[in-house]
Amino acid sequence: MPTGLHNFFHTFFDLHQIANVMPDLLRDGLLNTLMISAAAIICGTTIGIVLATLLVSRRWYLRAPARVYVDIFRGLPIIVTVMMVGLGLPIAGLHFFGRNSYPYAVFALALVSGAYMSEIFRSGIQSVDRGQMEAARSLGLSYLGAMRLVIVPQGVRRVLPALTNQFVAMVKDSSLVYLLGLLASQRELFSIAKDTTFETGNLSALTAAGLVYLAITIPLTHAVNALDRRMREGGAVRLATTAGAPLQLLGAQEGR
Amino acid sequence: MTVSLETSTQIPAVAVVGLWKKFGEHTVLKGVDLQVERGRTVCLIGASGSGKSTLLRCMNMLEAPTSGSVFLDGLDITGRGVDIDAVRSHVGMVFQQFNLFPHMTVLRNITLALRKVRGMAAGQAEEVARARLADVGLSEYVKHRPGQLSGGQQQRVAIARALAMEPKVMLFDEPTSALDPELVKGVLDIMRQLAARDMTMIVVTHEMGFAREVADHVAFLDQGILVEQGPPSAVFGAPRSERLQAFLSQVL
Amino acid sequence: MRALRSPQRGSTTSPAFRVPRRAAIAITACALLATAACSSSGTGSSAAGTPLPSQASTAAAGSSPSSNAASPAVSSAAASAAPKVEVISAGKLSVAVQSDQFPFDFIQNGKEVGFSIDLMNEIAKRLELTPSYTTVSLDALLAGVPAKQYDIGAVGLSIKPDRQKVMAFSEPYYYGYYGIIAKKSAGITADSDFAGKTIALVSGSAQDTYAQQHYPKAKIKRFDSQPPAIVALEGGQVDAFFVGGPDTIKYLQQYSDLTLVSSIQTSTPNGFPMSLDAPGLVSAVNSALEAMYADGTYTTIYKKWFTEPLPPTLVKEHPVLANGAS
Repeated sequence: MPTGLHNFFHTFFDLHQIANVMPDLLRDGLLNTLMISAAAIICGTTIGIVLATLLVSRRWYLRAPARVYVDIFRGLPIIVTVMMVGLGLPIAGLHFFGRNSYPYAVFALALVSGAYMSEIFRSGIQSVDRGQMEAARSLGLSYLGAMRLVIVPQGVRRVLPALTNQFVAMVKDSSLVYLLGLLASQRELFSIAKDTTFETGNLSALTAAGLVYLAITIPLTHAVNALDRRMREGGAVRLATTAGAPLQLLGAQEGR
Repeated sequence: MTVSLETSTQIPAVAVVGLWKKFGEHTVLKGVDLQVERGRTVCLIGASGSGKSTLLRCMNMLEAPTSGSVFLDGLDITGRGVDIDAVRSHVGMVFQQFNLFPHMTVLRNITLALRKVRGMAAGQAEEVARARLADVGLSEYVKHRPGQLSGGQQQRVAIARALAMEPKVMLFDEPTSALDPELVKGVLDIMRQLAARDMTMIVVTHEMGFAREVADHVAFLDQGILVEQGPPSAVFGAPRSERLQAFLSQVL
Repeated sequence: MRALRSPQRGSTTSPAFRVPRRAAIAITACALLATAACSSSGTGSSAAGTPLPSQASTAAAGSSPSSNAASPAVSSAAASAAPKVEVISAGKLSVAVQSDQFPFDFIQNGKEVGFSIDLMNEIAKRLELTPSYTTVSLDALLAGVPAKQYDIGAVGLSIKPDRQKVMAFSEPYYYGYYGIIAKKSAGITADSDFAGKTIALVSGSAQDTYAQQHYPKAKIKRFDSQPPAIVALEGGQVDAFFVGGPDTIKYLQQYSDLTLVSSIQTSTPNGFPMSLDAPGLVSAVNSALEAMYADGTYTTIYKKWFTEPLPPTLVKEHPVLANGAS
């Protein structure tokens, strides 16, 4: 094996190092990463849907603030947002989540992810046929009721695969919680790997963490695709049409 | 503002007065006046672009008139302060493209408005929904998704959905135009039965046979103007205006 | 023979006298050096026992003597016994600095200032060298000083065994301390073992190791760097911040609501790094430091930068410091 390749494998794929750090990663880091990721995904999706609804509104005073929000939180580096939320709020005297770094990190991640997802949801909502809104309103549903029950559910289902990127990004960005300070029990995958690289002078711990991240994100992607497939199949299959089926008359009683 | 659509035989079910509608620079309706008596079936006929669909859609405010008024049982629904959602819950509409909700079962398509608009309990709503489905002959499709039904079946579900709300008026916007020919009859039969039960119906259609047989009153629109109206025998049998004559010679 | 000096301010020899005498010695020295170089195989006449060859090689290298001793007899003996002061270029002391280490060496108003800088300027003066400063990264410094790209480093560098394998250090001139700062309003005292309190510190720092051993009952919150930690302290997200002593000075200046709760002396000394090939320089620097301890110069410089008393360990090593300590 050429020297360069050997060096590379020694630095990043030292199996001994990987095996050493894996128990810590799986025991401590995995659960913490999953917790942050799941919470951020759920909160971010909610924010995204609400924002999308505002973005498609006809009222400029609803649309404009939403647009500004999206521009800001998509444009700011996530690190800045995490710091401003996790350190800025306490400094301002707003201890929304007490002293725990996790909720602040989740909140910051959700704010950012919601901005990205709002654009995806918006295109999904706008792709829903106008006739759906017309039919819902014709039945007497209010605009919001129609959005909530008919339009948004369809719009969200349509863009599910496009959201996968955001979900994966949330899992990886969960590591940014380290910026806000971690108690020993709060170490997630990346911080465990980082600390280990300092101790060993070798980077294989990062590879090990990377493998665990893959073990989360790849199944996540497949799960989203499976969910999407299931929802499509629910409507798409057409049974054989029965053109001349006998009809029951309106009103069971005859001779009215 | 509570809505009360009084069912009186004297006040027309639907009255359109001086209705104008512009889309940007394009004027689609030019001062249309029309009255629909309770229990009658009125068919709106005319060429594409004549404004007949727009006229129909103004009747439940899916389009807002540029000027003029629409009265439902005497209530000016184009006025200020009208709770249009409440008004619409008493007006059923059936669309050319069916517009069933694809992410819901057939049953839920029908119970949705019953529960969310009428405030019915789940059990009661389901009862009503099943009854209306039976009326249109689709009882066994309660748990199906719209995507699993033929066009004709979907339209029948759409009719059931509208009827479940016990509307005072039913509006049909070219209900069979998107259907394969062999499915058209099934839907028209349902509409025929509805008419026979004295439902107030306004139907935009190209099906002249249906108009002739079922309508009480036929109105012909041409380029936004209500050119001629009358009983089918007069409109089809003895068209007075040149434009109507030309139109009929093309379609019949 | 009078010890050779390069022209310096403060020199007591008159210029008129010095020049011709210097020229004569230089010519002789060159001739001798040529002979010595041809006959020796090694790097130079470092093992020379006679005054002349050692002075000759000193003259050829263009460096200055290691002592300011006044009397000729003593200086010649000292010159013969004292090692040469090896610098890269004659009359100059090439100093590597990091320029971002408060209060050891940092930039103020565009100039290089700090505790280490002041000491270094004083040492250079006593060695009759002109210091010139080059800003480098820590890695470049740790590589460059042993490789003789620079004569010496003037940073707050800990003397560690694995470093001593590759570079020489002056004797310790400073012992650091760690500080724990907290809000005055928090009422935390030095006696407490911080049980149940949340202490912020930088992950992997010396304070991290210390806290793990000495404050097992405290909740340690690890940060990647100092700035978020101090903001967390100000925001009330942690009770205290455990950080290097000099950094506490900076934070106590920046935030008026903080106080130093506890200061812990460390046993890790700071020294000036030099090349292992420059024992003469090392010795000269150490002598300069000793002189500065004795005549109070060190204490004056120290008090300019630190409000803490002189590091106790240093005072123990150099009792003469205790005299000028107050």
